[in-house]
Amino acid sequence: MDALAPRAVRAIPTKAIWLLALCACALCAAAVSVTVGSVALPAGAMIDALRHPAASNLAHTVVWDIRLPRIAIAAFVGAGLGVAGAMLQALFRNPLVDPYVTGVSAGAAVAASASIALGLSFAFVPAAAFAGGLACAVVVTAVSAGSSGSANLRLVLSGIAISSLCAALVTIVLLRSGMSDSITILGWLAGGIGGRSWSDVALTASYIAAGFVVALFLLRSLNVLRLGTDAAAGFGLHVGRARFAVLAAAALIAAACVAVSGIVGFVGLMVPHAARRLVGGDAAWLLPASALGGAIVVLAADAFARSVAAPAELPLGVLLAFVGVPFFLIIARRPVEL
Amino acid sequence: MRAVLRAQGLSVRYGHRTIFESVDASFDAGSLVALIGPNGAGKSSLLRVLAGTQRPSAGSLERHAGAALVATALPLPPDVTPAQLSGYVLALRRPWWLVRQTDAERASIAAALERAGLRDRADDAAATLSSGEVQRAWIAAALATDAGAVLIDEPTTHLDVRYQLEVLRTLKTIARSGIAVVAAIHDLTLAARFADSIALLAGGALASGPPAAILRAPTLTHAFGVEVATYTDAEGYVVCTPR
Repeated sequence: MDALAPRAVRAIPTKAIWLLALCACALCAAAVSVTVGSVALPAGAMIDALRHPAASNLAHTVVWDIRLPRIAIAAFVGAGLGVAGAMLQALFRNPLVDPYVTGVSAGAAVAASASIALGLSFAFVPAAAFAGGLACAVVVTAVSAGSSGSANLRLVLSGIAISSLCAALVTIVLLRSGMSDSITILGWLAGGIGGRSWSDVALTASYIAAGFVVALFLLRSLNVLRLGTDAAAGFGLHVGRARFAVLAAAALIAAACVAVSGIVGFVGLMVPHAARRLVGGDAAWLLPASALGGAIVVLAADAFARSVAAPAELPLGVLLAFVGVPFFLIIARRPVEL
Repeated sequence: MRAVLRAQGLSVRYGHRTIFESVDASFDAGSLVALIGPNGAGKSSLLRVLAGTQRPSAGSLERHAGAALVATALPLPPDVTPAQLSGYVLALRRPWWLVRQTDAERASIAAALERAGLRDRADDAAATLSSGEVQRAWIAAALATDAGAVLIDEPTTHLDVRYQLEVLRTLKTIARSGIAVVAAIHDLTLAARFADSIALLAGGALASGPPAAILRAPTLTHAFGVEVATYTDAEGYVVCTPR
């Protein structure tokens, strides 16, 4: 046993250092994000506003009521999409999987659009999105069940089919909605996190935190599922139950993200790849690294989306698609490595 | 010898198709059994039933110790080490409130890796291991669970002759340490050389006995549907060759 310890022990600080570095990057991205926006604030006024939360002036309103809630939402959405993507990639043993490929986001989008059109309170939108996302994920998983070589292909194709159906349903919702609701839904579908309040932050955080807590309990299952369902079953994991639990947790997290930010694609695809290169595929390290990486990407992308054409904003989802699609095409050509 | 697994009247059917019917078998501690038979005879299904990961259509199974099943030609994610693999498997058995690996787990992993001959490669990533070492990493993971029976499906698939021998020697050593080892093997000559007994699954029925009793030309010719010749080599092992 003594011979086993040294190298294993050496590997842990490296991973821990990467996590600390990602934490520092996320804090830097958040700090930069506070300084970016359509209203130019002098550094002194901004620092003053941050130091005096109870003050009442323009700088305070911009920082505390507009930028910080937005930054918090960006961090939660990025973290959520990163973790959901990492969970789904481990579950399906497929690096091309993310909440969008599996139909989770599309199902959540239909349910969330319908909720907005029906005038439901925002508090119920994540719950509706979760139900829609989970329903689609279950259908896609059932179609792609099995361990044959074509299972991954069936997963991607059935995800595309379900997503197309969901897009059609969203169109129907749009056609049947009034002008005001249609504009709200269209703006939301383009992906964006502007105009969010602290109550939106609290609601989104509670759904995503619930998903993270479930994910914590699924770390062991994720590590064994990553070895393959045949191996997992052979060593005593109840594969059906574990797969459903992972899918439900990922759907809950992704649905909460979709409900608050609309369609923000490719974070769940790109971030786990990068995180895996830094800390390896062990879920206990990969999930925190994906959460931090996702937060960094969405914070940076949102800051860029707000500043590149200020005072106008680029939709976050549109911006990330320009980065994500080339990334997807590159990794689609590589051999599977999880 | 003490029976670790005892099956009575086991049947497996997929829809209207009967794979095997009324199979009786006993697998003893300390014995390496080679499960042979043509493709589609139900070897993998039988192993899954013995491991408890698949329900039989009929019959009963007495299991006097835990059983671990290593499926066919499993790849390992490139960053996973043999020690991590065993750790992942053992973590499934740990109470949920214990976050960290226990001393007992670490001792089990070290002992299992030692028995599988992987002590020196315990912390090397799978990407740097040979195919034989990967197969032995899976065997070590099964041993780490303290299973009384290790069931392994086609352990020599995709391995060259050197690694085939390496893996089968490892299985033999494990069996000698008091574990019931059942390995589905396609190479009849290797099965004859390493197994204590042969279980032939063909035509929906199981026949088992010592290698010399089962590996007979008429039996194999009938089971596999091709003419097979057998002879005994200078060391007394049965050699099987298709004609």
